This record gives sequence, structure tokens and C-alpha cells, in this order.
Amino acid sequence: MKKKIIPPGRIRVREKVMSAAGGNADYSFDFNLYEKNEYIYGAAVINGGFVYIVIENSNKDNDTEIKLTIDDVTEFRYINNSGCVAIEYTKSGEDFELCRSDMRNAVAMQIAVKKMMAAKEGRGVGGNDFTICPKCGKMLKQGSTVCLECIDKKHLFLRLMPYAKPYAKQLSFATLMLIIISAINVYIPVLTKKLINEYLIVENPVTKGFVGVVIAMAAFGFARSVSVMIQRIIYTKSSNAILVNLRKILYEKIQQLSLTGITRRSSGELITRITRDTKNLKDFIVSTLPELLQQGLIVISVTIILLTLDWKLTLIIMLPVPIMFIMFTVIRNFTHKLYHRQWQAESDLGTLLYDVFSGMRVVKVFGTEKKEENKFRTTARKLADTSQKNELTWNLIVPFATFIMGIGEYAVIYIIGSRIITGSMTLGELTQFLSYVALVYGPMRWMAHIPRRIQNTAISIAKVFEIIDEKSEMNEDEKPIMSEINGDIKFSNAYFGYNSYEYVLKNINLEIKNGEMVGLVGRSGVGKTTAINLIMRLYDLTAGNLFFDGIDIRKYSQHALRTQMGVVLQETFLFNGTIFSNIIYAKPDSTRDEVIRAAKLANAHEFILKQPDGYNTYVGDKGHTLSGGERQRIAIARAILRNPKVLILDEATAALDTETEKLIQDALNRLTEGRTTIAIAHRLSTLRNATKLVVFEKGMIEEVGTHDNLMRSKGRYYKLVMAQRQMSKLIKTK
Amino acid sequence: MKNFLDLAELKYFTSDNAKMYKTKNGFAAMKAFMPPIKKDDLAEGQDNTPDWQDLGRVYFHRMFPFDAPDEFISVLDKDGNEYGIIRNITDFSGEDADIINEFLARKYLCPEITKVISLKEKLGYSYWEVETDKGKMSFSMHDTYRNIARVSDTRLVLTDVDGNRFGIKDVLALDSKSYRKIELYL
Repeated sequence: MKKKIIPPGRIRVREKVMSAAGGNADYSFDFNLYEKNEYIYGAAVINGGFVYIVIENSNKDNDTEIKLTIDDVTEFRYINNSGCVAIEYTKSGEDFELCRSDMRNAVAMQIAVKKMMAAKEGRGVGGNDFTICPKCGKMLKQGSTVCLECIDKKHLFLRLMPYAKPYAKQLSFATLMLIIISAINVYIPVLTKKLINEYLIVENPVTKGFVGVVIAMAAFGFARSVSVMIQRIIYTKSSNAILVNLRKILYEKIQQLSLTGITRRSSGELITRITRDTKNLKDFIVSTLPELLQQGLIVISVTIILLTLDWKLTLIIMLPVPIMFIMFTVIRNFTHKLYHRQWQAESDLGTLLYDVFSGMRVVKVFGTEKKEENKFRTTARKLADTSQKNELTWNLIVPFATFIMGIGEYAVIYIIGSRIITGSMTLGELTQFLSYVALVYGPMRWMAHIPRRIQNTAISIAKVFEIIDEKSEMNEDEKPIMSEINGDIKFSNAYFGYNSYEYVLKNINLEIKNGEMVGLVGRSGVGKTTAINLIMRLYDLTAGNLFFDGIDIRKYSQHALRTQMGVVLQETFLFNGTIFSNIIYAKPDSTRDEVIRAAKLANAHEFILKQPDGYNTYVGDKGHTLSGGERQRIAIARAILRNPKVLILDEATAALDTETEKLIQDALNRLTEGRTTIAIAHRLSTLRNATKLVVFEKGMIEEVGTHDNLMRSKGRYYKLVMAQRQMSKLIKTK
Repeated sequence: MKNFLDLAELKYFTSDNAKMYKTKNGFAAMKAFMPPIKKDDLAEGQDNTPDWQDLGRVYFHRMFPFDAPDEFISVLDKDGNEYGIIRNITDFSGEDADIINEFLARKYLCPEITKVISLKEKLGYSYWEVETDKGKMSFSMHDTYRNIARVSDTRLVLTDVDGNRFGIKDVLALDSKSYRKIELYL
């Protein structure tokens, strides 16, 4: 890529706004749109409580300059449109637009809003908000730490070396084998020549020497086979070891990453990185690299031999080589397009099939089999057409290409043939020469594919190392506290947002004492589950503090903290296995007796007994053989088994009928003694035993109190209860 | 028998029951003849007689940005609660229609590609240099095939690495050189 030149207009507004701000900037950003989405140059600087803006108007006569006092503004907002973004602010009750831009400055503007709000509230906003590639200055993709545009391929391949190092001995031995194989390959034509010249076309051949040559040829052949065998065994063994090692490192790294690092990549992508990308690396180390080495050795040594034998002839032979390379590049580009299309068509077909099979129930219920059949036929037809076209093209190109590449050989036959006829060359020399020509042409054909393979590998290496290099955002304290917790939890001035500009939780102050049962109440999407995620330290707070027994949560060992919590989540997840293995998952050293007790408490025991295989019942993929309520009860048993200090229930009983729910609630109430329980429930009756109810609204705590208190104060909780009562009344009267 | 779907009521705005205007600072706003807006969804016992009222600043949102950009436009408040729906912009005329169109154009930025000058693919990224109705532009895309939405047989919408959108109204209407460059992704 050619280097991008910054347009002079952009530089001019940047400089102008900088001088307006007095040469200092707490933060600066560019933008490139105006009111009605006309493209312009604009730049902004935040400095010392002011925002400075310079916009080059589209008529370019005079610039618009704005200076805004941040304290005068009530609120700054980041507006996400479609294909463009804007910053708006409210000043004395009125909305204004500050600036707008297309998406390339979106992240910078999100941060700008965050910084301006922070400046307004007198908070300092530290930390690196986004990363820029030091080479091209482009912002890196979210979740990416390397710029795929600027990766240095040589550097990348060198990085593979440490992983191959433990196998250096084996690999160098295998490489030695490669050299031997190549040497034998090169030497055999010499023997052939000897055989023909000294024994086959001579009048009185010496039988003794003749047998010797044949035996030598056989011996070399045998040695070659043995070397190939040894070399392949070594490569396969060490490469698989390298692969396992790489996958292990990658997997461990992914588990270490915080949930933020994991969720911003799709699980499909992570799976690809662990399976396909590492396999690409292995393939490169095992097959491409040694083959390249071997073929390269042969080409070079044979070319040298040929040159010493007869340099004029060699030049003639080599004549079609550049043509061949050009031709292959052209063909490659062409077929690449074809194969790309075929690959897409195949992938489309795969997606379609996956979709239909996993949604078979819906298809059958809505009776759309015919429609799906047609869809499948069209896609399959498209694939068939594409691949037919590809094969036809190949079949047309390949024979022709082979012929052109053969021209060199024909030329050789002609020249040598005429030399033999005139007697200046022997039949043996002819055979030797032709064998060498074949030896050179083979690898050349193969090498035409090399650039593509290297490119694929480079991408895979980059992706694998990107994860390995990633720093976990939630670092363990240097001396993490491992001790047991008591169960006192305290939020103080806590702020949190999944992205940097929008807070999901704002100014949360909440104290939960050991032994309390706290109910979190509010509509969906107000931040209840987020609060729980923070307590489990799946994420770290953006600002403020969260204390456990008066000590900051970040001081605790993550692992030690989580093992003292029992969690039942909104979406119960069961692993592929038996009921028993799913319950015991929480505490693998439990006895059968304990597991049964936990199941009894969770009211799961009865239904488990109804299964013919009891606790050994196989739950199937994600537990699909069980009903929603059954899965939830298993999840509750799993949480109880741990005998947790803090029990977290996120809509844990939502999929149960009221009666079962009551049974479990009663069991849990017995449990809650001396333990902190935090429960989210939409069915408010579930929380009637709560010692404290916390009502969330728009990311903030609106009310705190007991059921009776809150009913008396007639706030949001009262309204929610009333609405639910009315619902149940309606149901009863019907 | 009454259709099940009749139970859901859609509030449509037309020039008869709605009037657009601009706020002092140039934002779209609306006056409408409709029942009073509930401030809180849990509040009860309010008078529901419709009347003309000033909704203040409103936000437009296309329900079918690809299939029907000029139809079914939701009119929302600041928090994303829906006041009602504009079934078709043609239900309004004059200044009203102008304001709707202006604010849709402000919200949805999608330059239309008229010519592909160059298109290169390297390491899983593709680099585009194009001419659009808003001038010459260059952008790069990752995972190109999957980031091109095939809205219809001939209409494409491209999303670049930053999230910018670019449209191609009709691929068949492109000149043959441009067409051949993008053919691979069709």
C-alpha cells in the first residue's frame, strides 16, 4: 500500500484549533461532516475545561470557530447514527449539535464525550482508550492488537521459532535426511548415465561392473526410501507436538482473558483460531517448509550440475521457466477467483444446511418444507454450476500449460538428438540430462503455489499471536488475598460501562451485609445482571470501588473469590454429560452423598429418579433432553453443592411452576442463614423474604428498603407490585 | 372472526394529524393530534382524549432501511419510545416532507458508489478506491464477502472496517470495468 498523505486542509484545521487552544490539548480529535452530512475538515481540542472547534466550511472562505465552556453544559451525548456519528450537548435545557463525523472517527468521538463528561464532573479519565498502529497510524480493530495491514511477514515467521526450538534436534536431523534424499535424487541420473554409456550401448560390457552399478542403484533407492520414512516420522511427531503445545498455550490464554476480551470476539472466531489457524501453522512447519527446502535444494544443485554439464543447453532449458512463472501467476489469479467463488458457494450451502437442520422443528411446524427444498436446490445448483465451470476451466488450461512447459524438453530432445546423431553426445548423457530437466521442472511447478500458502500462513500466525500477545485487562494483584470471605459487599460511587462512553451503571452506592438476602428489582435492561457480574468480578468497574469485607475486590485472587460464590444464571448452561457430572462440576471432590443432598435441596432429586438411568442420565448437547425447569433445578443443585458464602440467583427460578418455586425458595431460605444471597427476580413474590430490596432504574438505584417500607412509600416498587397483582387478579377472574 | 392482528394498534402520522417544524437549534420537532403521552409506563388513570400537542424534538428511524427506505419511518422520543409511524413520506408534503428527508439524510449516511477505480485484496483485507455521489473516496474492508449485504439481486451495501456504509444501487448499471472488479463478491 502506498503511504497515505494527510490532506493539507486537515492539517490546517488541526493547527488552527491547536493554536486557538493555546497549544495545549488534554484530548483532540478530527471530524469530517457538517450539519447535512457534507464532507468537510474539522478538528476539536479539549483543554482546561473548554472545547475548541474549527470547521472549514464547504465554501472554504471562512472557518467556523467555536469555543465552549464545558461547565455551562448539562450533558454531552454521543449519537450513533447509521454510517455517521455526532456529539450533541444540552445547555440550559436546549439541545445543540457540536460536531459530526463518519465512522472513522467514531471511537475518538466516543472517548471525547467520556472525557468531556469527566472534565465536567471533575473526574480524571485515565487509561488507554484505543490503540493506534504505530506504522500506518490507523486505529486498530476492536479486539485486535496487531494491524493486519502492517504485519511484517519475516518477523512473524521468526516468532514461530521458539515453539519449534524444543524439537531443534529432531528437526535438524530430519533436515539432514532431506539433504540426503535430495543428494540421492541428484546422483541417480549419474548412475543411469554410467549404466547406459558403459554397459548398455558398449560392444563388450563387463558383467561384473554392470552388476555393481545395478546394486548401487538399488542401494541408493533403498537408502532414499529409508530416509524419507525417517524424515516423515520425525516431522509428523514433532509437528504434532508443536501443534498441541500451540493449542494449549492459546487455550490457556483465552481462559485467562477477561470476559470482555472473550465476548468481543465471536466464539466461532475463537474456535477457528484454536483449530484452523494453529493447524495452518502446523501444516506450514511440517509440509510447506521442508518441502520448500528440499525442492529448493534440488533446483539449485541440479541447475549447477546442468550448467557445468552444458551451459548453453541449460539456458535453453531454462528459457520457458520465466514464461511458466508468469503463466502460473496469471492462472493463479484467475483460478483464485474461481475457487474463491466455489468456496463461497460451498460455505453458503453449509450455512443453509446447518440453519435448516437446527431449525427443523420450526420448519415442520410452519410447513415450509417445500420452500426450504427450493432454497436448497437453488443453492446446490449454484454450487454445481460454479464447480462445473471451475473444472472445465482447469481441464482446458492444464493440458495446454503442460504443453508450454514441455517446450523446453522438446527443445532439449531436438538439440541432444541431433548431437547424438552427429556423435558429439552419448545416449547416457541424453538420459542424464533429461532426468535433470524433469527434476528441475517438477519443483518449479510446485513452487508456483508457494506465495499463496505463505500468505495464508502469515494471516494465521498473526491471528494466533494476537491472542497470545494480548494483555489481560483484569490483572491479578501481586499478592492476591486467598482467604475466606465473610460476605459483606459494598459498592461505593461505582460506575460501569461495557463500552467506554455509555455507563450501564451510574453512581451505585449499596451495602450488603453478611447474611442478608437482597433482591434486585427493576425492568429488563436497567443493569441488575451487570451488578451481579461485577460482584463475580467478570468485569472490573470503570470508576469507583467495590469492596468485599472492606477490601477492594481487585486485591482478591479471582479464583479464590469465585470458588466462594454459588451462581445460578438466567440461561442455565449444562455441559454435554450426565446429570451427575453436571452437578459435581462445581466441586469435583464431592461425594455422591453430597450430590444427592444438593439435588434434594434443589428439588431435582424426584425428577432425576424418574429417569431410567437416574443420576447417570445423559443430558445431551446443552441439556436438550431436559425441560427448562429441570435444567434450572440442576443448575441450582450445582450452586448449592459448593456451600457458597455468597449465593447469586439471576432469575434462577423463572422457568419453574409456582409450586416448585416455592419449595425451592423455602429450601433456599433455610440455606441463606449466615450467607449473603443476591437474587434477581421479575416475579416479585419470589423476593418476599428478602431483607432488602434494591430497585434499579436506568442504571441507577432508585429505591432501597424492605417490602413493607417500599410499599408504604408508594414509589416504583409499589407500582410494580400493583401491576403484578392486577395481572394475577385478571388471571384468577378469568 | 376478527383477525388476531387487529388487536395491535399502529399509530400512523400523516399530514392530517402531524406537523413538522424545526427547533431553534435546527433539530426536527413535531406537533401531533394524539392522546397525551404517558410520562411513566406504570402511571394509571390518565385522560386519553386526543388533542393537538407539541412533542418537541423527535427522532426518525427507518424500520426497513434496505427494503423500503422511504416507508415505515418510526417517530421516536429521546429515549427511543415510539410516538407513531410515518407509513410513507409521500403522506407529507412541502416543508413537512423536507424536514423528514433532511433528518433522514442526517442520520443515514451511505454514499452511493458510481465507479470502482481500483480494488485490491491483500491478507484478508480489500482496499477500495471508488467514486461516489459524495466524491472520490477510499476505504478498506475486512472479510469482504461477509461485509457486503446483498439487499436485492442488484443492490449491495458495503460496510468498511470502521463501520461506514457504501451503497451500490444497481450493480448492472456500473460500467463493465467496475463490474468486473466486484464480480468476485457477487
